[in-house]
Amino acid sequence: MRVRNRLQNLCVRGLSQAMDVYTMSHLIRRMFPNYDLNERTGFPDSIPIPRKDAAAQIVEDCVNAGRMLEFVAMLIDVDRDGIMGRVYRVALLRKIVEEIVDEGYLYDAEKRRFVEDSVQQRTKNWGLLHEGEEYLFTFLRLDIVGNSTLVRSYSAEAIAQTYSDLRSIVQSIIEKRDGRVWSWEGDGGVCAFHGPGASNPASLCAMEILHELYLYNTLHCQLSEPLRVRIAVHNGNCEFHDAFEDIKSEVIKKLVDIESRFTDPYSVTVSKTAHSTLDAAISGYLSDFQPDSRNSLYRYSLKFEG
Amino acid sequence: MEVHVFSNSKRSAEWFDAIKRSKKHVLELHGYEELKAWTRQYAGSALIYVDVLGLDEKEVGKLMRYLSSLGPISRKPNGNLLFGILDPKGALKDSAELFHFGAIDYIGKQLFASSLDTKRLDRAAGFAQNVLTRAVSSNGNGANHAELSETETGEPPKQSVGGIDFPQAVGMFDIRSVPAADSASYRYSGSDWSVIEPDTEYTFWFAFVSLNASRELAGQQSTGQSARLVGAFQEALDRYFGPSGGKIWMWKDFSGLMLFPFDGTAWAPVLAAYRFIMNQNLVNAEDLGLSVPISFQVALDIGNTTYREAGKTGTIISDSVNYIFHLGQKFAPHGSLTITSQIIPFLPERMTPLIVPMGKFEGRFVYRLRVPTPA
Repeated sequence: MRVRNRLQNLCVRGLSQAMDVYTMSHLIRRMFPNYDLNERTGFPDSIPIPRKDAAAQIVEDCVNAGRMLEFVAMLIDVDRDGIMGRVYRVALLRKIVEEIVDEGYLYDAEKRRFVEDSVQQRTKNWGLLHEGEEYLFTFLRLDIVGNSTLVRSYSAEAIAQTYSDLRSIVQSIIEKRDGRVWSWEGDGGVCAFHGPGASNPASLCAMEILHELYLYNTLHCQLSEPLRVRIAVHNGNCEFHDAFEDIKSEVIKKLVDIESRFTDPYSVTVSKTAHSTLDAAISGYLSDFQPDSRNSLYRYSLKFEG
Repeated sequence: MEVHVFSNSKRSAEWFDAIKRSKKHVLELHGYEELKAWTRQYAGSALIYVDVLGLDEKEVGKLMRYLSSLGPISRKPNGNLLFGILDPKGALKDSAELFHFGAIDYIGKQLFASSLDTKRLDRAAGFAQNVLTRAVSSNGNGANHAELSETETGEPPKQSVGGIDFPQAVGMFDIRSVPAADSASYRYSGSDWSVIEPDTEYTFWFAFVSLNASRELAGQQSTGQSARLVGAFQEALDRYFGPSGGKIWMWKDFSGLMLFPFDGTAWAPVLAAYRFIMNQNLVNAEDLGLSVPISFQVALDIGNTTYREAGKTGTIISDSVNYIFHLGQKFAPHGSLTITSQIIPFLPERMTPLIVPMGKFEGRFVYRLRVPTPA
């Protein structure tokens, strides 16, 4: 995120007015556990650091580390909850937040973090994640069943239109729930959801994609057969890289494995780890199955009643 | 599949014992004289066998004309009955003629001497589907989307819509059997709300919407919880129906009436209702946050009413408004999308196999649309 001087100045003023240097030092260690304010400012231990200098150093370090949004979210937490039971009011907080909103971010009170304002922008890293750092993701992989046969059987125009329609369906459903399409090849792709509760939106997206695909097949598909997909949902820690091909992760490997080996056409398979973090309101729609002695998985598909 | 046999012969009834033993089909036996009364009140999908033992040529002709009027290629709305003929003594001279009347099976003397193979019923239903699909396709524009896929094991072809198989062969609804919509009384209200004036009569799409199990909920939840639940449900309604012009017009407790402008062409409210019913599980989980889901109900009709703003509707007198409330409250099943014959002409042909006749309610033919559910 671009950090204007005005935002930086507001943060310095807000921080220095809200707390003493000792508390600032304590607070910033939530983000940088080994942070040494004396070392960073150059003041020896024997000389007290002026509040403004301490605040300016902290804000500058956050800007340089690309973690300004995280820092302001922490100030919001402090303003609301205090520190160790003591109240700290960050006087300029409203103006600070307004500056960030102008840059295309919104504060999500439930997640306690800033998120991209999807009307203004939508980046692969939600404007938050840092190259090479590890985060908890839930991934959704989708693959068209019988792609090679379809490509051989229909005209290039019909295939291009159909696959493009599918991508539009997937993208709108994924982005509606704050997911991101990280990779899309002709016949499918990988989508990512960030955070601890992300298996919920990922699983709901997978279900809704099946529903919309049924409607698409019923009403619009120009092929003489229905378009079928396999969808897998799995979660785990994974390094973030802006280029998808740079992500070498066991979580992605497992996701591909679940999709290709254990998922029936026109169905969703959710891994055991993703299932364990699902709300009961969602997990109730999945039925468990054991494809082999090492795997326990959960399935979702559609049927007509008799 | 439901199989109903109409015969006064004990031996004919016994011949179907194999169906009783197989758990795949449901068998019910009736006396021959019950045929007319039963077919008049039955509104589901079934295969019926009628025994012609003891009937003369004239009586058989009369029976065939009657059965033909009920059959799947008939013009009558109760078109989901498939029928076969039992002829234990081989008395009929021209058994092929039965098929001209729409029969899908004939059990003659020789077959009657052997035992029944239950796969025959599937083959007969598959044959009906095959013939009917072609019949409907040849009468419409473009391909019908009901698919038939021959299995490698030689099983009867499966019917499917949108890539999802029907669990059993179903009779194909003949759209030609629907009475023409009463369009003479339409007062078009346009494609949006811009031209609609208060105290003026217009034609609208009506959607009765309901959050079911309301009595159970009313007993278990506090007033505040119920209000929050209804509020979340109404927000979901706005999200699903708003883009097609739907507005909540009347509301009481857990159900209400939505209005959509009607321009005589667009069918967006039906698609929105279909999507809403199909996504019940998503709405329950995501919008209502309920781990024990509640089913929804939508009933659609087209009719006329004087328009007034929501909240000022207390003195409106409208047959159409009365009808849609009665349909929703007294007839439409929970968890389903119910439509009247007024809606059928607006459905795309590809949705025809989803239509299930439900009989008549307060003088109008009513149908249900098949909607896939979580397996």
